[in-house]
Amino acid sequence: MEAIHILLVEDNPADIDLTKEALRVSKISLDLSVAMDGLQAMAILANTTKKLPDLILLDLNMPVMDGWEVLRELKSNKRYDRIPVVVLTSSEADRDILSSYDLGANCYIAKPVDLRLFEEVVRSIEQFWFTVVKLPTHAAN
Amino acid sequence: MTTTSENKHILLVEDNPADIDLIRHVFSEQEVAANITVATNGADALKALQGVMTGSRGKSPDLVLLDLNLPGIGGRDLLAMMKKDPIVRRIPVIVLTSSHSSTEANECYSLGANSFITKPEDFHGLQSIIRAIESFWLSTVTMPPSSVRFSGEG
Repeated sequence: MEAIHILLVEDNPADIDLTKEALRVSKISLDLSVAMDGLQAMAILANTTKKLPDLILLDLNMPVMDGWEVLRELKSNKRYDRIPVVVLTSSEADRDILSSYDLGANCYIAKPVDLRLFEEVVRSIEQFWFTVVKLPTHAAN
Repeated sequence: MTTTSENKHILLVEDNPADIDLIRHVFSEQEVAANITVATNGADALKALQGVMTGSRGKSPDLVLLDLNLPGIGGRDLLAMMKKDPIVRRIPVIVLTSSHSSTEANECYSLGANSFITKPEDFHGLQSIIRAIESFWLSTVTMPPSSVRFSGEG
């Protein structure tokens, strides 16, 4: 079975490592791409020769192009709008949560500070999105 | 049925009585308290959301479970309507339907469905799906805050 492709959009190197580590122990075959800002993320999507991501994990506060801008771009483009976007960010502010859902984020998850809880969250994401949900399909590039 | 501010309110849009019973039952077993409102067709679902759409203070669902095979207004049209409304669009909609069609799933995602799940045909399968929805959406996910839903923005 083809590996599931995740695009992680995150500017904090420590959080990237944490996420990689949490995903590493997964029983599901995963292929992880990383973008450290929104512009990189859009470039990866535009230039990808492999299939489009099955899921995007998106931080909000990033330099150059932030998560809200990425969301706007993704959800207004027919090529990308069906890709599920999980906003995974440190903010618990109502304003951030509301604007993310407004812009079409599939779900919003406030990142736990506790490492063990964070790992549980990542596992929860995998369990729901890769074993329960029917993911969208994309035409071959 | 009393609703505390802690209880999540789920709008189930489904016309199959057996599925309604099962879904209600599984939610009642869970640790997170949830109040389920059922609409058996699109028109009733819209009525349940009417208060949210016009901005009047009404009980807004925290989550919508949507079957696509509905009499009258089809599930997909209902989804499109919900995701066009500036306030209602914030409410996560989980399409829970018997369809295995990738085309249908793709269309629903493009219309803004937050998740698309194919309903298992067996009891235990459906039970486990509902548990998974409860575990992810009512426990892991940060839902849109209901306190700001009627702030007049949008």
